[in-house]
Formats: sequence, structure tokens, C-alpha cells
Amino acid sequence: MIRLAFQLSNHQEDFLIAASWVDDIEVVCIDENPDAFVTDDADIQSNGKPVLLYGSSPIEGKPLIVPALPKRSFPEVIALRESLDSGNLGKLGVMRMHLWNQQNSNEVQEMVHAIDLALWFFGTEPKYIHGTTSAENEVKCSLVHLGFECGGMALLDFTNSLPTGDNYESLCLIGSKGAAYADDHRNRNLFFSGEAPNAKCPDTSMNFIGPMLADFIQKIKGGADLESNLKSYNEAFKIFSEAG
Amino acid sequence: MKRTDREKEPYRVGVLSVVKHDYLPRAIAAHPRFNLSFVSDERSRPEWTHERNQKFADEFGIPYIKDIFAAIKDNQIDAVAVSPEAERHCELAIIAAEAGLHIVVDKPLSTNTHKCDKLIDAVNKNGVRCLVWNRNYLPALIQANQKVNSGELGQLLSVHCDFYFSKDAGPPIGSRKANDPPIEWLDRQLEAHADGSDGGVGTEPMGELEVEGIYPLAYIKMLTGGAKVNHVFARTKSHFHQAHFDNDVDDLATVTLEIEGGITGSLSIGRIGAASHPDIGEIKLHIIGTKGSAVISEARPEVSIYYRDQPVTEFKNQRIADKNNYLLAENFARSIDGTEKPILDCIEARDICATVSAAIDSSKTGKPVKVDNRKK
Repeated sequence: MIRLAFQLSNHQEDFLIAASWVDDIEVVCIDENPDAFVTDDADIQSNGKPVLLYGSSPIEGKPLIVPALPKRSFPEVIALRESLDSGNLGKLGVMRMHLWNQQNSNEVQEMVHAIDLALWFFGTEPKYIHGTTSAENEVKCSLVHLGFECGGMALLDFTNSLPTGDNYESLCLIGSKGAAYADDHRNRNLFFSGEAPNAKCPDTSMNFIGPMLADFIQKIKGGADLESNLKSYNEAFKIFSEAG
Repeated sequence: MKRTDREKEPYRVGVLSVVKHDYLPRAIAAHPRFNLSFVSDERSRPEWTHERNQKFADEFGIPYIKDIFAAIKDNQIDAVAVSPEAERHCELAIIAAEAGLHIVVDKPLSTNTHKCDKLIDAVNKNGVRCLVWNRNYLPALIQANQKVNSGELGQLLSVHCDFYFSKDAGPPIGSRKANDPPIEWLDRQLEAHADGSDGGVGTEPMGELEVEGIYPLAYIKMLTGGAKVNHVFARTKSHFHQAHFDNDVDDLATVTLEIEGGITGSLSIGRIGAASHPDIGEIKLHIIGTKGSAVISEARPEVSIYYRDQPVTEFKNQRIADKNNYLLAENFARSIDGTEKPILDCIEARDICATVSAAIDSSKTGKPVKVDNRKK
């Protein structure tokens, strides 16, 4: 059992609920000498304990910081990863991702996590990196295009143009033997209340928390390389910076 | 739906070769503003081309004339429908333009911008109209274009197109044994004629970007109001099919587009194999404006039909209300009338050819490439 303390400025309740579903987690208060922390405060005093840092960029040189890579734990991503790992899709050729957010979104975090996903799926660093942007006032569209040594490619576009409300994501893997499509477009249900209907996805936006916590706990229990997330995050961040 | 002027005398159309798909001359024949007069091709063409031309001519009860110049000289026609091997599109279209005939030509216009320029010069010199075949009148594209033109989305900032045809193209990559010869491109294309996946038929191997890239790039051109692509960065690969690998052409490609007016865009395109989608393929547009955004599925509207003993090759989702071919023919008639511009003319198709060429160059160098658009 790992004694985990949570200190989050947002979604604390969601994290606590998700933690209650994960075996091997005992939720404790921050002053109860936890085995590890989950926080969005990059400067937290952790007394040398592992820290799962969610929603913030890690501070350089701080030990045992495990930046969260939440996109790896999304239900659709888990399903796609399993399909790829099973060999059903064959050799990965393209990862295509559309990420549409709202103006208050954190472009750096979103794109770094999307790039991490591409590196995670391809299992290697890109040989070619290209980026471009278009913008008007506060609205920005950015595009990162990666080419891998194996010939695989990733095309990731981000915008903060959406008004208040839902975000939109679409992720597609094209393999040599098959393809997988995870798309908010096809997952929307219609709700009629006058004029054009609302199209809403069932809310699974917080479903990543459980698998993400389980992965963190597994890393601690198994004595795995706690630095691996940080290395992945830094690599993705470097690529994002290079893409401009 | 636009209604045509049925009072007018139909335009007489010569079919210059019908060896690839026959959807183009069929669409022209099906429209009340056109009558087919003959099929023609050069006598020197290989026997398989004569067989296909003759078959089409017999079905429509029109002569097959193995001499294009004689056919044009001896018959009173107004226009031609050009559907030969992809590498001959410009060559035959130029003959027609020089004879003062309006042209509807199959896609892609060419893989070579110099050939396109010669056609454009001939079209301009002779004052004829030239429509290049496309899918811009599919219901979803009409809807997308209306949304953009209405101003609802505000100023256009970004357009992305995913364009995957879930078709096979012969044996999968890696299936060729050590002592087997490479697959001949033309042999493979002739074999593909039965299922209509021979878009690149001819002796010149053409990748998916060259054969089908014109469709999504024509969407983007229409939605951006005809804006030119200035720079591209691209990656391409033979990922699925032995024929593409053996002939050093792509069947999978991604392209970043930097477009006039500060617009960005991208294209992800592939012939990804029949197993990779339940229907013809995942084809989508993602459009971002300053005031709104849109996600458009090219296949919609469609109906889903499932039944016992359904053939595995039959699409479970069938497109409905697709009037693309009729509306293209209507657009061609109106272009000849002088009341409408071709929805994709040879200058726009030429610049799409330049975009594709630049993308292939970029893929080879690993660097962004400036697109050689036609100078005004």
C-alpha cells in the first residue's frame, strides 16, 4: 500500500475519487508523512519523496519529480496502444492528432503531451521536426510535424480557438495492417432543446486519472526508473521548442 | 440544387480516351446538356487501351475512331471529355484546346507543372474553358463551403484534411520473395481496373499524393477562396503496398501547408488498405476560424446497412444524396455558357500539381520547400 497525499488547486475531488478506485493507494493528508505526493505545485516541499506533478512544468534539478503524462492514460489512448502492441495495426505509419482547446488553455502543456504521445507510440525520437503557426489576436493555431527514421510520421495540430464549453480531440493511428480512430466527432450524442441540437460526448474527461495514478504507484512499488517521465517530458519539450 | 437550362441545345462532346475510370464521360453523358459524339484515341496506343475505348463506345452506341485529329476534324463537337492514362491528361487536353474545344479532364491534371503550363497557355490562347475533375460538390463539402462563406467561422486561420482511402493496391509490402522481379506499375494498374483503384494507370508510377492529393488540396483551395500554398514540409513513405515500394512512390504522406493570407493547413493522405476502415476511408476536414470551427466528415450524409451473408467487401455505410458528378457536369455546361467559372480550373489544378511536387521534394530533402506557383 502506498500512502499518497494530494495537493491540487484544481480537480482535487476528481483525483481523490479516482484514487479510491485504485488498489494499493491509501490517501493521507500532506502532514501525515506520505510515501509520495500528487500535486500541481512544482515547488512543493517533498522531503525527497516522489512527486507526481500534474498540470505544471517541472523545475529543473528537483529530484524525484515525475511529470504527469496524462494523455497516455486517456481511455481511448489505452485502447489504441493495446491495439498497436497486439500487432493488429502492424507497423505504425502515421499518428494524426487534432487538439482543439479554449483560450485559457496551456498550449505548451497540451503540445508537449501530444508530442510525448507521438514519441511513445513510435518508441523513438524524430529525425525531422517542423512547426508552423497562424494567429489572429488571441486565437492561435499551431502545427507540429515530425518524421521518424523508420519513415513514420506524426502530424499534431493545436488551437485555442474554441469558445467556453467542450474541447475537441481526434487521434488516429494508421498502421501497415490496420488503423484506429479515436474521435470526439463520432462519440457525440444529440440533445434537442430548440433550434440546432447540442452534440455532446459522454464525459470521460477525468477518466485518465485512475490509470495515471496506478502507473505512478507501480513505478514506486516496482522500483522502476522514476526519471523516465522526466526524460520523456524534457524530450517532448525540446522538440516543441525546436518546432518553434 | 442548381437546375440546368434544358431549353438549350446540348453540347456535343468527344471522348478522348476512356482507359482509366469511366465515371467522367459517364457523368457527362448522363447530363441533359451534353451528348457524346465519339470516342477517340491514337492508333499507336497499346491494345488494352483500344479494348477499353471500344467497350465504352459500344455501350453508348457511338463510333470509336483511332485518330484523334481526324475525329476532331470530321465531327462537329463543342467539347471533349479527357480520361486517358494520368500521364496523358495534358497532352490530349492541349490537342483539344488548340482545336478550340472546351475541356473536362480527369484528375490529376499532371505530375509535371511544365505540361500544365502548356495546357494553360493553349486554353488562354484559344479562349476555351477547362474543368478538372474533383469532389468539391459532395454534400459535406457544399455544407463546409457555405459555412466558411457565410462568415460564421470568421476569418479562416487553419484547414486540415485527413484523406485516407481504405483500398488495397496489390500484394502488401514485404511480400515479394528474394528472386521475384519488382512489380511493374502498369501491370498492377491494369489488374486494378476491375475494382476501380487504377487512378494511377499508365507507365509512369504515381504515388498516392500525386494521384489523389488533388482532391483534398482542391477542398482546401475552395475553402480558402483560391489561396495559394506558399511553402510545404512533407514526409512520404511506401508503407503498405509492394507495388508502391517497388516503384519508389508513396502510399502514405503528411504535408504541412503554409498558405497565402497567414493560413496554415495540413494534409494526411494514404491508400491505407481495405482492412483499415469499414467504408471507403476516413476523410475529414478540420476548419478553424477566428469566430468558429467545424469538423466535417466527407462521407455524410450516409446510411448504414447490415444484413446476413453481406459480402465483406461491401461498404456497411453508404453515401446518399451524392450529386457530385451531376453538379460537375452542370458546372462544365455553365462554364461553357459563360455564366460560371469552373469549380476547379486548370490554373488551380496546376498550382495543386506544384504543391504536390514541392511536397515530394520536401520529403526527399527533409526541409520546407517553396511552391512554384504559376506567375500571374
